[in-house]
Amino acid sequence: MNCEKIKTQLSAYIDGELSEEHSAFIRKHLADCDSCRYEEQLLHKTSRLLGNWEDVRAPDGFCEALLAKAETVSPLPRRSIIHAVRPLAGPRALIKVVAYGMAILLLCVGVIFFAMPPLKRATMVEPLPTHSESASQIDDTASISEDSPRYTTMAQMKVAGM
Amino acid sequence: MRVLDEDLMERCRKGDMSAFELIVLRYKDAIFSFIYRFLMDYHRAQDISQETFIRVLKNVNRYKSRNNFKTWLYRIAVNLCKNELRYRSRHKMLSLDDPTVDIESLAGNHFVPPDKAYEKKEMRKLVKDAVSELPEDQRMVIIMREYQDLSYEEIASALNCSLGAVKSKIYRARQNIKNMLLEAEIHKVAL
Repeated sequence: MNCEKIKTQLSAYIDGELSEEHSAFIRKHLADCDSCRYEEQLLHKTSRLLGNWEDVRAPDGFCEALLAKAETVSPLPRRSIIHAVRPLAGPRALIKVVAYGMAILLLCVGVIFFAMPPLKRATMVEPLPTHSESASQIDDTASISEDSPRYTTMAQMKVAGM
Repeated sequence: MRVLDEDLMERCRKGDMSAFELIVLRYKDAIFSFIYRFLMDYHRAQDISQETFIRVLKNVNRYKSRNNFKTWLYRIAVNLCKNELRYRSRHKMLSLDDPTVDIESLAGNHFVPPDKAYEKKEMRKLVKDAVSELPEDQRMVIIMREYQDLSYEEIASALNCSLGAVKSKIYRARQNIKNMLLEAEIHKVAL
């Protein structure tokens, strides 16, 4: 390991945050290297100078004021269904609920539709006869054949005048 | 025998306010000093320290006893400090260390001869300035390490980052402080 790499490890070294093996390696290097040893001394001094910043304690009356405030505080409940539903109280949440509801409804309709037997599904999607078509069908009831549309719903039959 | 923080939190969860009081007594100085050193604002440090403990109480049910309480507490304080800095930057506020508040007298320090006191005060000012000049993340880790005596692992847990990131931030913070103090020539005198 070169000096540059050793120097980056010195901070953790003086904090005692390196493994014993790693520390021994750095200790050995420091014994042989003036430049790294000087750097280590500077870091020690820096740490010592930082210690000049006076000790700071919480002001008098801190505890009393805090405990008075704490009397009015009740802990938030454990995460539960009630807790999960609580954010749904606002108007924006209501819009969300409606949107989710509609999405679920559409999904259900889709599922039911595709779960139907193919024949029934086909009759549901079959287009209603146009006005001109239905008129000609009324005029010419004899022309109803196997190819003519089947009127399976009441609405279709009404349009067709049946 | 010292009662474990986790046990105190369990009692707190059951509504035992005396357990909460013990937690406050145990950590009030550490949390206040951390927030004060980070924000450099004595009055805001009081409010935010109190808010930290209030959050502990509010979230007592969310605390998982397998987590280290101390790092959880620091994480709350860190988040509140970050919120404060965000608020300040949005409202173009300066970090204010109220010159009318003499921390030393509040801390009840012993009498020091005037010349020594002046020297000490100057030294302290240089150190404070050097720390406050650091980028936010470096300032946080160096305060946790140098003044709160947290291990790298505890710092990583409080900041929710990797051990490697903590190591590198502390290293860079010390380099920056060293260079700033060298610039002020204070180091040479001290050496």
